[in-house]
Amino acid sequence: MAFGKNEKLPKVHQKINWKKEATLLPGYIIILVWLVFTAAFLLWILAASFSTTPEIMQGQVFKFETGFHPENYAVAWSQQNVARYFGNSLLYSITGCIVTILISAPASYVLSRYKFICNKILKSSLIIAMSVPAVMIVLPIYAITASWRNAPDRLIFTVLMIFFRVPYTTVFLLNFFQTLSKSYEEAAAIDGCSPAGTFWRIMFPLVQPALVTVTIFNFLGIWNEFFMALIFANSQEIAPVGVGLLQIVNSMKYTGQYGALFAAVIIVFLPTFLLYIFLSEKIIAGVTGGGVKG
Amino acid sequence: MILTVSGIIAILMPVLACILQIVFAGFSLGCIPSVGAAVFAVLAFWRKGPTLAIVSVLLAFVQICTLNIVLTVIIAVIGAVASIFLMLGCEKWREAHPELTDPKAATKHMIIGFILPCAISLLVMYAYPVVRTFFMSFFDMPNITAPVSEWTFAGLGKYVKIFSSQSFIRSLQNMLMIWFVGGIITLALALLFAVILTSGIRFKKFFRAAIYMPNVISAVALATMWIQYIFNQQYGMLNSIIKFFNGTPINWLATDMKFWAMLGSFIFGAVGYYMLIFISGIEKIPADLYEAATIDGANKAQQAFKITFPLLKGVTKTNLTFWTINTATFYLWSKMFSPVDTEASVIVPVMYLYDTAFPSKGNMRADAGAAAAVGIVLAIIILAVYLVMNKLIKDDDVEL
Repeated sequence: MAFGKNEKLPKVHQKINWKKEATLLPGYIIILVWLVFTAAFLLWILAASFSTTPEIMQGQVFKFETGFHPENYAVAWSQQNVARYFGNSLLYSITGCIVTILISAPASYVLSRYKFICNKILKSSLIIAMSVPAVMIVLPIYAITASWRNAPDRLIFTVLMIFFRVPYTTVFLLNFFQTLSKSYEEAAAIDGCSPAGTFWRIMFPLVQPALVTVTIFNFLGIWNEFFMALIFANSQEIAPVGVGLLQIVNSMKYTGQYGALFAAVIIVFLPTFLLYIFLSEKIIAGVTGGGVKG
Repeated sequence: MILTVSGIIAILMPVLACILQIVFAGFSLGCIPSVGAAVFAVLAFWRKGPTLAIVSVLLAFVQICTLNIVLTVIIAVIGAVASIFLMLGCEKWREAHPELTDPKAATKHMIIGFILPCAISLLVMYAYPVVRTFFMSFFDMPNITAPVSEWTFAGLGKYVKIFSSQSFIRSLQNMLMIWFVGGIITLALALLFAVILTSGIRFKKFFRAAIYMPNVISAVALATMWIQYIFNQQYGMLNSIIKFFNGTPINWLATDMKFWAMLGSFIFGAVGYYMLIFISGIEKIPADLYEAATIDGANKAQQAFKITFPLLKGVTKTNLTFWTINTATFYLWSKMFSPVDTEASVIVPVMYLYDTAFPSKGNMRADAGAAAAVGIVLAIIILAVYLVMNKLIKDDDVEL
């Protein structure tokens, strides 16, 4: 299974081998320089989000001479519309993740475990669809959705995000359904469970770890989506955080509230960052296990 | 009773959807769901499949939702009641037809029901748009939403037009620079980090996670951080460092520096992903090769050049393919570095496409055909690089 970790023997407490560590020193230095740079600028942004605009302009964000200014967050949240963008993004991501799984998991299940006429064609079309760049499809989709004049725009964008994630999700899950034992289905059939019932009651819960991984990626994908959002969810009312942040940056010339800008950046940055802190192992395993075939 | 009601619902909803669609919006491509709903309703009665009936009602429901907000609310209530009836009807119907517990028929129904939504999404989101984009690139049309009847054939005219456009050529040059210069730096850094992280250093997992982190957070937020802080002329990080060493501050976002500022910040975010793929490749190399080399007296650098790099052909190909797709669809960073008016220094093909299809200035006419041609050119580039990569680098040289 792509997910199996390399089982290692339990580590006995090792003494630090200073000679070995010394040969690795250049490596440590290179990595540490990179990390210090990353940490430094993230901390600066965080500090700036609590500072006043003059303090930022003078480059004195770490001194906090006038104290902390959490009101930057209040300004960003309500005056600069971040609350709405944030709500929109949550709506798109959560609905998108759930519906994508409901469409993809059953399809992936029958594709990986049953033989039927279009099976091979469907599988390869899914893989091709995964690599079709967004620029190839946005123009006709724009034409279609524009003809639905009265459609609620949020619905259209949500549906697009779902369809956009379906090929990746289905392909990702194929391997996991394939590895399940046939005996589950046989046992369920003997007990009189219908094939569809077998899927929802037995097979679907069995691939739960894979479902969680792929849902994390779908969440990140929809939360961070920018190109499609710029075309289909561009107005203030329905924009997700990415497009919203761009609008805030563009209005910076007129408002000049740099503290609030950095607060908005932190608000946009935080959800996926927190997710990453708790789930980084799973995400990293998923990148190399699911995204790359072979 | 329930059977009859759910049967009536399954007929009425698609019919209602068709009528409402024509009354409110006329006959257009937006009719696809209602036509689909009608097809499924017919199928449902022909095959006697409750799953098909539910699909037809759902499609009809979607169709009506797209028409009118007030209608949507009313329909939502009706839809909820209808689906309860349909579910109950399905149960009854199953009991009335014991032959359905025949596993073969049930399996067939399941396969159809499970595969349909996925197949529909493929058709609506990929197959149809790709084909239409292809045809659009050969036609001239008044605007992007114009129906096919208003298109006039333009032959290769749109391709001639984009290739004689100064900005498109500039965007291709920029893309090539990103691909070549950015590719060398990104992949070299990624490989360097991968080799260091697999050389047995401590805190490997933490370092790996920290370097990959920029890939997870919103790229818009990341780009804003770079533009508003690191490259800022007044209080930015880079100029502060320069001032500390008594140098003259540089305007990083001036026209001649902007491209390199953009490329640098993009590389910072991209390295982690390619590093992960290199790491997974390195970890597949058997450890005894290194043990043998160590016994023979090879040092770490020699091991890297003689063992690791030659055995990484396969993952290098993967990385190159991803890098190519990534640069061909490069857009976000360009947009962030020239947020209002497109600037020649950072223009990329996708940006050119966006400006051609959705011009922001009133005096420019949208040319959907030319935009589609740009999309086709990009797709051809990706396909060509993919094929060349497969020919040049064969990863079955070495069995790992």
